[in-house]
Amino acid sequence: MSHAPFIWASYAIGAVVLLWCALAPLAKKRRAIRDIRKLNQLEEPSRDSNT
Amino acid sequence: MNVNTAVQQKPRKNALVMFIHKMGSPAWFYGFAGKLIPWLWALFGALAVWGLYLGLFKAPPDYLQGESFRIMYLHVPAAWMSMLIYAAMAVMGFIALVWRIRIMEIMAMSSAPIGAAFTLIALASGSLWGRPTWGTYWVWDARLTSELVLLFLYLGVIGLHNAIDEPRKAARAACLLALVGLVNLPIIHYSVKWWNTLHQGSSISITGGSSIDPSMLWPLLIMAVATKFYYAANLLTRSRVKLLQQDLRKSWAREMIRENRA
Repeated sequence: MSHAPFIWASYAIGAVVLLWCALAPLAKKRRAIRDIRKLNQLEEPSRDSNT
Repeated sequence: MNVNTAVQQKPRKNALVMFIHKMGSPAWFYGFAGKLIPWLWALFGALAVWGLYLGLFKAPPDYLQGESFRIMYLHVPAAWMSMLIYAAMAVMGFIALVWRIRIMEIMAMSSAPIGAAFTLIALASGSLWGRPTWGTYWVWDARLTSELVLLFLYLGVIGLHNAIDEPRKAARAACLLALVGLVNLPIIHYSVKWWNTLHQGSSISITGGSSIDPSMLWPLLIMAVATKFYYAANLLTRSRVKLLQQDLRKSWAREMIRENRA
């Protein structure tokens, strides 16, 4: 029995899981920044009108 | 203690207290972690490439297992990390519960998905190693079963944390569950000694040396260090994001986005 498919399958699973685990928070960060920008934009007109 | 010693020790203590105090400031933590993260990823990348090159292309095949032993360079560091991250999560959870430090709650909860990922890798790679070596993908052996329980514990912590709306209450409940699950770690570690398992015993011991040839051992140790940097980089990345999500309306976060410093 060739061991190569088992070895490459292990490393492929490892790479996919670690990559997903590293990239997942970046999407959440983009969403959080977008939400904060929206809040800032909502506040900006009222700030300008106050000054 | 004479007066001179007391005078010498005071600034050192103050520096430590100052560091802990600074860690409590979300803005300072966000900036500090942001500076560290690229270096941690770079160290992980360099060590992983080096370790995998040595392990996959330079180390000789095992006299008994043949080429399949190369799965060890992923499986063993992942299994070590699955336990180490759980221990770290429980310690941070304990600190968070006792001293109510928010950043510790955030870091404990950010550890759970990373620990679950490493546990999944340890289980999957171990299963793929088991097929050519034992002739089966899975047996309900004490080591494998207790590692599977660890995955369920991680999923339980993540699930409990997501089930409660109020973030701090959610983190405290999940930290408590993490502490209860700590009992599983000695079971995993000693399972190969306490029970007659199919899983082999430890080949490496901190106190008792190693039964692995240095040409096979070094890539394993390099990979073990590389995964620590992965954890540190991912933990700080996730903690920063959680902090930002919780503090959407706080002035420090809004000021930072306004100035494009995120």
